[in-house]
Amino acid sequence: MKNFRYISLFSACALMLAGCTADLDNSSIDFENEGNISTKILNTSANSDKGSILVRFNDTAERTLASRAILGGATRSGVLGVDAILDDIGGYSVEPVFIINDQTREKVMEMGLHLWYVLHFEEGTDLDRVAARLAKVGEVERVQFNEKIVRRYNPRSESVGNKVTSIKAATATRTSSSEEIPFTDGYKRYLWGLNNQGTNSYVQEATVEADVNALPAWKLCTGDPSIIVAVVDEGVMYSHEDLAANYLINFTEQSGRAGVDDDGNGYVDDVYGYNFAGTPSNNISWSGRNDSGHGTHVAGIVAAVNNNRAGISSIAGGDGSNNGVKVFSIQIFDDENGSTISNTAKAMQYAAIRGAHIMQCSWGYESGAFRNDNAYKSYYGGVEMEAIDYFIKNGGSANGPITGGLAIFAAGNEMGSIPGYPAAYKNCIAVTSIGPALKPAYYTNYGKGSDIGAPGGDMLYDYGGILSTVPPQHSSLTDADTNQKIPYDFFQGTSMACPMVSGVAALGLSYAKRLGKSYTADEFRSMLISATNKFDPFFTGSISFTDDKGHHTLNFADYIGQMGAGYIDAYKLLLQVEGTPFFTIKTNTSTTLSLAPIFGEGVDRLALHSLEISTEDKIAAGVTSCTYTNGKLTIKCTKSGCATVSLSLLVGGNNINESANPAPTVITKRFVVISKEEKAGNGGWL
Amino acid sequence: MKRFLQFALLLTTLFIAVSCGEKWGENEEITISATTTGFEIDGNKTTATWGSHERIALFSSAYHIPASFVMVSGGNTSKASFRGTITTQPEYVGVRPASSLGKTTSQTFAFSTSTPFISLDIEQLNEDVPQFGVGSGKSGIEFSPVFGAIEIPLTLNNTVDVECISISLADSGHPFYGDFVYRFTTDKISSSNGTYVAEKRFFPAIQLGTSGTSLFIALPQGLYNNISLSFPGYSDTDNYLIEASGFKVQRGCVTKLNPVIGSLPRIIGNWQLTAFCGTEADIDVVLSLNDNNTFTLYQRSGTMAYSVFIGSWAYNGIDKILSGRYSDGTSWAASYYVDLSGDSLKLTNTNKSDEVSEYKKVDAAPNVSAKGSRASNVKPIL
Repeated sequence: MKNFRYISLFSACALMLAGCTADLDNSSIDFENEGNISTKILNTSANSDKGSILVRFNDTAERTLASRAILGGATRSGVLGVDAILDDIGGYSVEPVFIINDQTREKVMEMGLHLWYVLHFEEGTDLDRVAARLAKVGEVERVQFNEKIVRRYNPRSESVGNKVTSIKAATATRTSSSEEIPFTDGYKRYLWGLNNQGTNSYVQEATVEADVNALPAWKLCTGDPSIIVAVVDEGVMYSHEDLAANYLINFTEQSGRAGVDDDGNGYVDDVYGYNFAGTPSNNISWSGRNDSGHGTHVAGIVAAVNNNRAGISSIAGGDGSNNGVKVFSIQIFDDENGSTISNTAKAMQYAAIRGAHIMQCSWGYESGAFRNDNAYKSYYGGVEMEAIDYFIKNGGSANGPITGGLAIFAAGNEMGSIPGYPAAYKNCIAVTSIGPALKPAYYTNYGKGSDIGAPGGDMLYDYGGILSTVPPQHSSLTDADTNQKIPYDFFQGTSMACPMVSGVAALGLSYAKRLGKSYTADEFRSMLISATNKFDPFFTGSISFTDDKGHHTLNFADYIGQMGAGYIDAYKLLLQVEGTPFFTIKTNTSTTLSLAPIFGEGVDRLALHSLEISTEDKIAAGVTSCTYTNGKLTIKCTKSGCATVSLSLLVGGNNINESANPAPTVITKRFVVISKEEKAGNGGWL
Repeated sequence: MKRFLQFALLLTTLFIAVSCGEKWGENEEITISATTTGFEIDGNKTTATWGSHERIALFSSAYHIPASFVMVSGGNTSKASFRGTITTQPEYVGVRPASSLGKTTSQTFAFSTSTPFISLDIEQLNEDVPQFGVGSGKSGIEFSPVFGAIEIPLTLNNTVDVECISISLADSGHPFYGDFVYRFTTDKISSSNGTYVAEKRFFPAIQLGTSGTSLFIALPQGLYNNISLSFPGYSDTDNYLIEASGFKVQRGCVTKLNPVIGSLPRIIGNWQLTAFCGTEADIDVVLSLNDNNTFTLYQRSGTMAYSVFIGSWAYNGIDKILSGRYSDGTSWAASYYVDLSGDSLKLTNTNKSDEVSEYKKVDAAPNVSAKGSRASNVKPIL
């Protein structure tokens, strides 16, 4: 079983109470809050980087730090109390967590990220003591050990199902449906997540609806090379035969001078992306013994090159004419190394710097490690959360189809009743996983905070995994005709469901680009989560299985309403890009409208957040009543006219003020209701 | 002196042999095959040979659908082929028929797909026409009209879904100068006086004999049952010729065919809805008014994908009213006063003056043809 877990949360939360030492700058010692010093230190040093510590300054230091940010090049923080402590400790260096240069300064300062600093020390420095001293400084708001994140999963663990060891290319004898993937890619028949052929599928149990509905979507669009997906994961094998053509190369750096930051983005020679794991470098790697091919697999789901006769097809991989979306690697896992919190935050900023529209993140902390947004923010001091928000606000590219970016995270694979963070964070899109029979994948996390489902594979069924690209050294799959190992393999997990959604989002943005449409990140996120089909009719029955944790029986009905708004449908997203439906009602007649065309088929389970019609529109159309109930809008107008309804619904919960659990995601759509005296009997406008 | 109108009509029906859904551009070549004898239109050249038949009239016009119209006495089956769009004026080939004023002729047009080019049996009643009388004759004007009218009930007995017919009328003796009015009365169109009044039309290009002319009118689908054609005679009219053609209208097959009363404003084109009742809104409605009097309506109303409606429209230029009917027989919810200003079009509900839809002209209609073809691939969408 490739039971992909997530990077672990080292959840030891005991606070380290370091003894006080004499501070050199008494003027900045926080005597009033000395008793609360411990609350400034957010985590422990147990699993943290031994040579660095994070500090977030408060507003008192803002002016000083702002000047530092503007002037740059500082070797000290500029905050006297802190610098005095550092001088006392010695052997230190200071740098902002986030890159602050001409390209980023305004954006970083706007969001207050220039208040985050990482302090580097020599090996062997007592960081607990340093933290305690720093916490006494009045200008210091939070002190955070720079926790390291590592992979928890074992890429070589066995599947609970039968391991598929070989597959056949397109010449296989199995009868194929006329509705097959319209590309030449050899292993396309195994890609049920893109095009599920039901009983005609290779999958042991399959339902035709259990896919992302790629075929009709591809008739509208197959991708656009201006759309960029940052794969924050293990390194992506940029030279892979089925990825290279859709891999984003930084040509400025490639053709520039070695050792020089030619494009001025703060990173030297970042030709293929950047590696934030261990000691950050520009070397993207994928061949370490502890690597699994996870990042390459994820990238292939999004943008493996279509129609090139090689390997697989992907959602947004183009049609073989170099028009797929682009992916690139932001590496946070590298062999035995993981990133630190500060570098993970920096990696997210890097995604924005590189103009990524989508930050594809198939990783997260275990289900239940954080129960709500506040717990998540408190533990990590918010640096990761703020970095996510930075990307959402500043991702994308100028004049592109979206202002900002989409942060898409896997919900996690612990069968937990709450998605892991950051997926569950309300500003992220949390992706749950379904199998080929349109049942919840046995491993998937679910519950409040879940936004949307997608095919992620279920290896309880033969061929039930998601086939995608991997570095050859990480493949266990051979071609049955050649008996040669192939650089493709089946994986399962919300890690695979997540890039399905990222791929669909990239496809939607590609289509928006073509149509010249532009959205805010919030608008497009609402569209994405609304481009769904309904789970409920399929969540019946149960399944039993045994894994290394014991025997399990899952009743699928328990997942109803717990997996997000529905499962993703690429075609529906593209239709939403084309335009939003309107409704026509008859004047003076109270009419109930199904909102499924607006919010997706699962709208009947979405709770109301807000419903607004402007006063002008109310007057114009004589709106006398308008209510939302269980996915339906009931409205009455007394005049001919039109009213624009702004309706916000909640996904992944029904209480916007939820504090004990992940807060629901708010999706907002605007649509027009037209009141007419006369309607044609067949529904025609005229 | 009563004169008897003698009709001998061969009605031709062209079912244009292009596949449905293909766009026929103005200069695009198509091939139409029909069955008759000795008749051929090839490119810009129009010729016809009819053996010994006495009365032949051949019409085609740049004003009209680029097809052929044949009137010939007798029920001869012929072979005809058409290639290309006629861009030159047509020519008349044949012998002018004998005159037979003062009689009524009723006839049934039956359109069928049994053959692609159909000869129609015409019942010539030669009954008196009460309304028609020879008045004072010439009044010093060579081509002064007679008083009264010739009333010709036309019954269409279709065996196929003819979407549009064209009727042409020719007075072989004279052009229709002066106060010439002809009326088509149908049971499908309601107007203020129950009569569908066509404007006078003068097609000098259509030469019938030495001084003849012809009238054309096209009636959209669903509007042509029980047509009564009324027109005046002239004292020295020798004969009248009436022809009708039924068309299986294909997308884009018809170029210029105006079931229009009065002058038609420049409403042909694609119109994107921009506002309703004075409120601008993001509403996906595009109305494509085609010059063959068909329309295609694209709307995203209550559905994620565009719904497409087709049908026929008619325009009354006297009252400036646009009306229409969907292909399923459903009438438009209302007819609309037309107010065109440049690339802006306002349609005002004739029954409710404050219900105004505003449109802007757009280059193209939504491309939904690909979607239609893949409809079976798409999961059900509410």
